[in-house]
Formats: sequence, structure tokens, C-alpha cells
Amino acid sequence: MGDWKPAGMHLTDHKTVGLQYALTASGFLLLGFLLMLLMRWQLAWPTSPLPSAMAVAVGQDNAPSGFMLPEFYNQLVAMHGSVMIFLAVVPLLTGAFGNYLVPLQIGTRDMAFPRLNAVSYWIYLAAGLLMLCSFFVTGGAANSGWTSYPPLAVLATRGQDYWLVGIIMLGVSSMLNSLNVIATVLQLRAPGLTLMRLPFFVWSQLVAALLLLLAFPSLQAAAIFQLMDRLAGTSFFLPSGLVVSGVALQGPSGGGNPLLWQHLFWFLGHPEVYVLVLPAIGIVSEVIATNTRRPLWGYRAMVGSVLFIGIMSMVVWAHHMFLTGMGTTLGTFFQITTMIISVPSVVLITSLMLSLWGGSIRFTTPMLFALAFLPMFGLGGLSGLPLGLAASDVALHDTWYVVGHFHFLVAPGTLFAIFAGIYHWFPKVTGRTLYRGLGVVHFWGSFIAMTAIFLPMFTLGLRGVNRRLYDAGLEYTHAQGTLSIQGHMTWAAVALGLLQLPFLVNLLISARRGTLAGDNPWHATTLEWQTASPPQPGNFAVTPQVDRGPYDYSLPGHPRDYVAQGERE
Amino acid sequence: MIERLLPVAGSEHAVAFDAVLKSVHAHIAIQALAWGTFLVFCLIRFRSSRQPQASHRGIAPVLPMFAIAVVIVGDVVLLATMALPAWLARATMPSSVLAATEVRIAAEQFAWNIHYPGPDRRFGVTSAALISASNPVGIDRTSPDGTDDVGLLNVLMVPVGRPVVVQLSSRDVVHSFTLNEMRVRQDATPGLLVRTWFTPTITGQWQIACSQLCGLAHYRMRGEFSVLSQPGWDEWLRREVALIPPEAGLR
Repeated sequence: MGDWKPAGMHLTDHKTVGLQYALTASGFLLLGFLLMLLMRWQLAWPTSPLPSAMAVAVGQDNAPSGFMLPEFYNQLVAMHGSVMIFLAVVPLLTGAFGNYLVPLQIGTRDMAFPRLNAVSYWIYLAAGLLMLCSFFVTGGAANSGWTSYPPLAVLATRGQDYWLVGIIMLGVSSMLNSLNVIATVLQLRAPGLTLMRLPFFVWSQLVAALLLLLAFPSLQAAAIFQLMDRLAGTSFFLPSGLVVSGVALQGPSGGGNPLLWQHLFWFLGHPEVYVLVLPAIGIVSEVIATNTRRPLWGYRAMVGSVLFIGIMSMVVWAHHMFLTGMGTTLGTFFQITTMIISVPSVVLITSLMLSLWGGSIRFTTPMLFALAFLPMFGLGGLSGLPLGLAASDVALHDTWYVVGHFHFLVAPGTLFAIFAGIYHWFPKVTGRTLYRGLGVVHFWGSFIAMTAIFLPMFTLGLRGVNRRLYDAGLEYTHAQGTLSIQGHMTWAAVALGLLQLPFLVNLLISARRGTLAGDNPWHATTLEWQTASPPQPGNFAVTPQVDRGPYDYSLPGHPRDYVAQGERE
Repeated sequence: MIERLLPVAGSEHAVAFDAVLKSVHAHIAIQALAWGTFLVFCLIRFRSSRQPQASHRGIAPVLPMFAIAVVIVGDVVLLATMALPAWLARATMPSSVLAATEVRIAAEQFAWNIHYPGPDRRFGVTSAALISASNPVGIDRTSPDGTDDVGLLNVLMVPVGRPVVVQLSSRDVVHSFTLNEMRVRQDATPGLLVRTWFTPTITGQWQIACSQLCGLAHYRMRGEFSVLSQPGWDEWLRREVALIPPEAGLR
């Protein structure tokens, strides 16, 4: 384990587990990025061979003489999405940030069940490795999209089994993790730290954990059914009378319904979106409060909104299914719930925007990312509106517009929040600060590159170009004028990759040579800043006693511009 | 701005659907502009060098309440006056269905099998056992209504100005039947028979696309789609019927 286990720190310590999650999920993030580059290369130049280095990496089987096969492209589509969502971004938010920060922010020694916490990490790691192994089995990795719609997924090659078992294991891992977060937040808060004194980040983690706990079993059950359909000859998702490639399908008795999978999948799939979004808003909230030197505007409304989103996110799932032939009553219901859930989301973003008013804004590196999060995430959210209304969804469903929409939410949205969080808490974790110059280059580079990648997607979608096309639409007349845009997007993606180098260099050098941070370099209020950097095992020498809210910045008449949460009068 | 990007609106409901699309994007643009201006203003006005001391209290809640109310009203108006009516109007089968052109489309990896009822406007019996390269739909020519039926692979021809009703199904996996210019996009799910309809308002030649990932050749699951004038379509159908070989499809 080497550096992962500093002297005196146990493998079940929440900080160790958090760092294990952070390093592993970052590895998967990089992998998901590389899969995307291959995909983007194919989209930009669908009729040309891959560059020789790429062709060698992909292998002769997947790209004979350098020409990528559609079979392999579909694996990239499915695995880029699965890796990014299930193995990179969610584990970064809940496993890494959640594990590391929740016990510190609530002033306790560890998670409620430290050993289960460690188990959840190891199951996650095993699930991730299993999913990746599937690239090397006959037929390659899963190739039916991250949504794995049957019958296609049931008829797919062996890799789909690996994907399904991986999902089932991730369900176990996420259940252990989310139970742990819920128990920890509800039971182990420092004396005086009432629920309404919790930092907003902790609230966001609590609701995300509730969502995972309640929604993931739906996908887990569905994954078991699909695995049975593939291996045991059941027909949960297979109707009678399937004829595949002109031959009647032998074996399954039929009588199942492919739509059942879609319902079960999106019953997780949509709350999962909020698992990707809420902790990100939580991180941004902490960074904004610290760097405006004033409390979050409308903290109570934000807590109410995050709880309301949690409940509502369970009743919006079928807006992903408007085009399945859904009846008008159901369709109306889901359009209305979708509009309703947009309101608390607006309240959250509005509160963060308004928090800037009257602040004394410090443009630190984490603050740059947090500030950019607001418009980028806002654009991602707003572009969900035309998809949530069935009448406008018809023109846009399954086009690049959808891809643009959720990438704005997750890439310059959630990922920027993650970057903000890394720059913000790096001094706490390592005891040293990151260089600002490299951080600024990383920020502006990523901001411009991401905009250049994702903004054109909306125009492609409005022009009716479908997503998930191996040749980027070469076959279709209406897509002809869009092929050059794919090339620009690919170059922007390459640039985005190169612009992460200053970040990596910064992390590596600063961890050893950065200026010493001290306990509270940002003059922040929440409890994690009132212990050593890095925190010792057990976190706090003395259990903090709390008798104030989380954001006592710039109190009138106070000599300092902040009063820490554990500070006594 | 949006209409410059959108494909031509070639059906009756396309106008109403596009109106929803434009209004939603106007709503988005207004919000983005308002919030963008607010954000930039705050960043300049409240930068620490100009505002060394923050205000603990911050902005008074009147303006924000107003902003959120505007968003809610915008959402409700969009939903109640445009989006839902447009969707519900289309969800109701056209009453003039007797005058409609009916076709059955069975999707499969990676083609559209299109069954026209022929001049008698009644579908003959089909059977999977009769499917062949020359009879992609499997029309049973011995069935009473089947003698004049036309079965074509990847060719959809419809007349302008009358409703077209498509009975959509799939033989293998989920596909999505897409006519961009008609604003038609409908999943074809095996085990389900779904109907979708549209009334073309202009003639032209376009394509059928598949929008749902359906396997390795999904990207080229494409068909021809033409809207013809009524006489042109009548003539086309006459020629297709004349092409039916006398013994075709006989058991």
C-alpha cells in the first residue's frame, strides 16, 4: 500500500478510504477520457484509419489496418458512459469527497461503520476491474450503451455479463457506502451540531446517499433479471416471437416486456443524475461561502430544495421514455413532475448566484472553478427543459442535443465542482497548497476547451443529427454539413486532455514542495479546518463543541471576518 | 435563430412542435442572459479589491423571490398553453382516419420493412414463414386482401395533404422510427404495436433514420422517404402493384 497508509492510519480510516476512492476513481476518469478520445477520433474522421499509435493500442481485432470496426465503436459508447458515471464521477463525489469530508465536517472520528466503508471500496474496485476485463473477452466489452436496453443487451456478446455483474456489485458497494453516510450524519454529529447547522455539503451528501439507497436496488434487480435472461433462459425482458437476423429466436419462452427494463433502469437512472449533481452543488456551496466571505444566501431554502429534489427525483424517471408510445395520462404526469423538479433546482442555483451579492469575492483557483460551474451547470439544466416537454423532445430525443445537455451538467458542471473541491481541500489533505499559476492555466484552458467541445452539440442536435452513430452521420443527407464540426470538437477534446497536464504536474509537485498550508489557509468556518492538515487519525484532538451555524462570515461588529463553527465565545 | 438549424417543418403538427421548441429556447435565452448579466455584475462589483468587507446579510429577498416567480410562471405558461396542448392534440388519433394513408412498418436489424395495403386499402395476411428477399414483409398472396398489397424494403412513399398512419413494430430489438422533417420520432419496441401519425404538408425527398442504438450497423439503418403529390402517389402505387408477379407469395 505504501503511501496510502501513513503511519498510524488504518485501512478502515475514512480518510484512507476516501483517498483510495479518489485515486481509483481518478484512474477511471482518465480511462473514460481516453475511451472518449478514441470515439471522438472515429467521429471526426470516420473514413480514415486511426493514427498508428492509437491503432496499436486498440489492436488489430478492433481496428483492422487501423480502421475502427463499428463493433468496437459501440463498446466505446457503452463503456465511456458506464465508466464515467458508475466508476468515475459518482465514486469521486460520494466515495472520495463524501468519505473524506463528511466525518470531518460533522466533527467526528470516523464513519459509523468503518469496516463496511472499507469493504464498499474494495467491492467497487473489484466491480470496476471486472467491467474493464470485459474488453479482453470474446466479442469485447458491453456494447449496448450505458442504458443496456434489451433485447439488444440480452442478445449481446459475453461482455454484457461482465457489465451486469459489475453493476450488481456496484449496487452492493453503493448500498454500504450510502447506509454509512446516512448513519454517520444522523448519529455521529458533534455536540451542538444540529441538522440546520450542517454545512450544505453534508446535506447534499445525505440526500445523495438516500437516493442511492432507495434507487439503486431497482437497477440491481433489473441487472439480475437481465443476467437471468442471458444465462438461465428466462424472459423477463424478451417478448414472444422475436426473429433475429431472419431466424426465430429459440430458447426463451417469451412473454416478457422490454419496457420493463427501461422503467427499472430509469428509476435508478434519473435519481442517479441528482447523485451526480447534488454533491457537486454541495462542494460549490462551500467554496462560494468561503470565497465570498459571507453566508450562503437562503440556506434554509436550499436545504428544503435539496430534500424536495430528493423526493421528486423518484417520480420523473419516465421523461426518458416519452417516445416509447406512452399513454397521454402518464406522459402528462411526467411532464408536470419534470417541470416541478426544475423549480427547486432553480432555487439552488439562484441561491448560489445571490450569495455573491454583497460578498468580498476572492478569485482563488477553487473559486474560479466554482464560479464557472454556475453558468455552465445552469446551461446544462436549462437545456433539459426542451427534453422534458414531450412536444419539443420529439425533435431532440436521441440526438446530440441530449449529449450536449447532460455533458454540460456533468463535465463543466460536476467535473468543475470536483476540480474546485480538489483545489479547495488539497491543503487539508496534504498540508500543502497548489500553485496558483498552474491552476489558473488549468481553469481557463479547461473552460474554453469544454465549451468548444460541448456547445456545438446543441446545434448538431437541433439539425436532427443522431447520437451513437459510428460514422457521425455520413449515411444521412441532413448530417453532411455537420461533419467538419465533429473534427473541431475532437481537436478541442485533445486540447482539453493536454490542458490537464498543468493540473497533474501541480498535484505531483505541490504535494511535496508546495508551501505549507497550516490548519486553515482559506480562513474557512466549517469544522474540517479546525484540525491539523492533514488531520491526524481520529481527526480531532478534542471533540468540537458547536453552537453556531456553518457560515458565520463577516459578522457585524466582529474583529475577524469569520468565526469558526467550533469556536467558543 | 433556432429555425435556421431545424430541418424543414413538413407536417401539420411540426408547426406547433416547433413553436414549443422556439418558446422554450426563448425562455432559456432570457434566463441565461439575465443570470449571466447578474453574475458578471457581481464579479466586478463585489471583487475583494473593491469590496474588502462583505455584507453578512446580503441581498434582500424581494428580488430573488420575484426572479423565481418569473421562472415558475414561465414554466407553467409554457407547459399549460403550448407544450401539453401540442402533445395532447397529436396524441389523439386523427378523426379523418378513414381518409388516411395506412402503412405497417416492421423494423429489424438494420432495415425498415414497409407494408402498403394497396388500392383496396386493406392489409392482407402476413406470415413470418413467407418472408424472403422478394417478399420482405411476408405477404400471403392467397389471402383475400393480399393480392394487391405492396411490400418494400426501406422505401416509404406517402401522398401530401392527407394523414398518414404508421403501425409500427419491431422484429428483434428496440429501434426508433424517425422522420426529421415530419417531426416524427417513435420507438419500435418488439412485442408492442404502436401507432404514430402525421399529415405531410409539403412534397420532397428525405430519409428515414433509426434513433435508437440497435446494433453494429445502427448507423446505416436508413430508408428512403418521399412525400408525393396525390396524383404522383397514385401513379407510383399503380406501378408498384403492376410489378407484383402473378404467382408471388403463393404457398
